[in-house]
Parts: sequence; structure tokens; C-alpha cells
Amino acid sequence: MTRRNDDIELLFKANYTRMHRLAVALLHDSNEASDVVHEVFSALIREDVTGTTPGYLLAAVRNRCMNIIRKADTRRRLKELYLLPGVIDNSDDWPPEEIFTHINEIISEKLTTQCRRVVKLRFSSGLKYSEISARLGISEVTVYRHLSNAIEIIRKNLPFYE
Amino acid sequence: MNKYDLVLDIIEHPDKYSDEAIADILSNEETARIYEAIALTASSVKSNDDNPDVRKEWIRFKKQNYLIGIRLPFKSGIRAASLGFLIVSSLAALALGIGVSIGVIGNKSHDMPKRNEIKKEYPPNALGQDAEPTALNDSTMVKTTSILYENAYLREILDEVYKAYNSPVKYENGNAPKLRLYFRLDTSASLQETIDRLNMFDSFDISLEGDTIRVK
Repeated sequence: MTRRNDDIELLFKANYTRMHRLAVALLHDSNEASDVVHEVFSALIREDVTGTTPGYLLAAVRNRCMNIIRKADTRRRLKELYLLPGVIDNSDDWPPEEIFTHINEIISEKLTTQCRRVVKLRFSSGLKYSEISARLGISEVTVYRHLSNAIEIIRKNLPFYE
Repeated sequence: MNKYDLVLDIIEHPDKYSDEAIADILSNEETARIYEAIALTASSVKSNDDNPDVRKEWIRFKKQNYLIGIRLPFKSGIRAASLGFLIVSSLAALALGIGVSIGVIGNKSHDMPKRNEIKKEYPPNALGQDAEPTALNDSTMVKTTSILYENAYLREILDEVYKAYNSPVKYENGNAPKLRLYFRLDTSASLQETIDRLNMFDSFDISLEGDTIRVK
């Protein structure tokens, strides 16, 4: 294996998880996130980029994800739950990981058990409200209620975000 | 319908709304912020769940990018029937057998090393032979220049760095020695180059102060 390929392999294995997690946070799809990360490394090979740092790799992932989001029409954005263009920021530390950590803590600690189940089924498993309703044996109106309560609690507990 | 339910409804049943209606709803500051909170919640939950199989992804990446030196004999996804067709149609059955066995041998040569295995690689000697050290002829002994660490402790790697460069290591980060890394140590590179490559990992910071390697 050439020295160059050694470096690519090293960079890939050292940085893949973090890059993938960032892409998933932005695109909400694991397969699409994998494609983005692969494209970043393919570009490194093509462009023979040297002196690559983890920050550069994350910025490359962020830029590619932002391009996908910006090109998506409104209906695609709603379907994938992409952030609105006005919210997207190009700074190096966006999206801030502490917000994600905080939201996950709120979900774990401040929601009722049933509310947390509904949130996980909707956002982790990607089920429709009708499917959640059937799975949990509750009405679709109750699903709406749990989700709106969850979002309200999350907003109230993120004062720095508001 | 309150604003929370409205936003949840346009997400779940967008077909009920025209493009203009959706744009109008999201142009309101409050509903935009509700949508933003929902999107961030989705991001948080999904990134928290994320657990990619890095090895599997690396193998997929190699196959798709035909990295030099690890080119696979056959493109992934080509079926045996296609191989037979490409070789000789009248010898299709035999060609299939040859094609498959070559593929298997080729694939085995590119298997990733086992977990925790340290592979030492020897450059060829003057005769062009693999220079594995032998007790009979010390003049053919070749110093190891490349060591592949697979999931090894940082301490192990830096112990080798110390031996190779004669630079003592001082840890100022108690967790660092126990971190596990995949790393190829090339002792033919300079110490600074080796340190720069180690600093590609985020979990610690290594610097060279005089002759001492400091790990923070």
C-alpha cells in the first residue's frame, strides 16, 4: 500500500465517526451521511490534499450537507426535517454539539415515559403519526399532543437557544 | 389548531397544504421557531443514535475508489455469470471456476488485519527478497520501519516512538495512555512528522519540547 493510501486510511478511520455524526445531524439520514463522508475522502484523493486536519474534514462535510439542504425544495425540507436556510450558519462550530447533548438530556429526564416513547418512534424510528398511534394503541390526536408537549418542554429548557 | 399542532401537521400531512400556505406558515416567527426546535430535536436524536461501522465503510470506500496497491481483481457487484461471459463463452464453466478462485485469493490478500495485531513490514533487501531477519546472516537484517497498530493503546505506540527516536514521553493527560488507536508508525519519518500524524486524532495533543514528547 502506498504511503498516500496509508494516510487516507488513517484519516478515514480516525475521523469517520465524527464526520458521519455531523452529516446525520444535518441530513437525518444515515445512508446519505455515508455518501457525503465518502465524497469528502474521494475528493481528498482526487485533489491530493495534504496537511488535512479534522477541522478541515468536518468543514468539508458541513459544506456538502449545506449544499444539499439549500438545493432542497420546501417539501423535501419538511419531509427530511432539514433546518430552514435562515438558521444555517457557516461558522466552524455550527451546529453546536452542546445543543444536541442538552436536548437528549431533556428527552431523557424531563419527558414522561409515554412522551419519550412517542418522540423516539417519531425521530429515531421515523414512524408516521398513524403508525405511532397503532403501535402504542393511542389516538393520533394523542400523538400530536405528546409531540407538541415535548417540543414545548425542549424549547423552555433551552433558554440560550431561544 | 394551535401553532405547535399546525407545524406538526404540515410536517406530517404536507399534501394538505399548498406551497404558498407552507411558506406562509413558516414565515411566521413563532411557527418558524417551533419548526426549528423540531428539526433540532430530530438532529439530536439521530446523531445520538448514530453508530457507523467504520471498518465496513472503509472496505466499501476502498472498493469504490480503487486505491492504488489495494486494487481488487474484480469490481464489486460483478456476478460470476458476467465474469464467465467476459472470459471465453465456450469455457464459461471453467472460467467461472478460475475467476471465482482468483477473486477469493485476491480478496484474502486485502483482508484487514485482525484486531490488536501488530504487523511488522520489512522492505526487501539488496537481492530483492523479503528481508525477514534470520539468525544466519546478520548482514541481511533490515531494521523495521513501518509498524501497523490496530486498536492498540497510545502508550504502546509511544513506547515504540521512544525506542525509535530516543525521546522520553511525559503524560499530562491521565486518560491518553489508555486510548485505542489505529495507527501506522513509520520510523523512517522524522519525529516531528510522526507527532503531526498522531495529532490528527482529536482526543489528545502531543508536542515536542526539547527531546521530550509531552502528551496533553
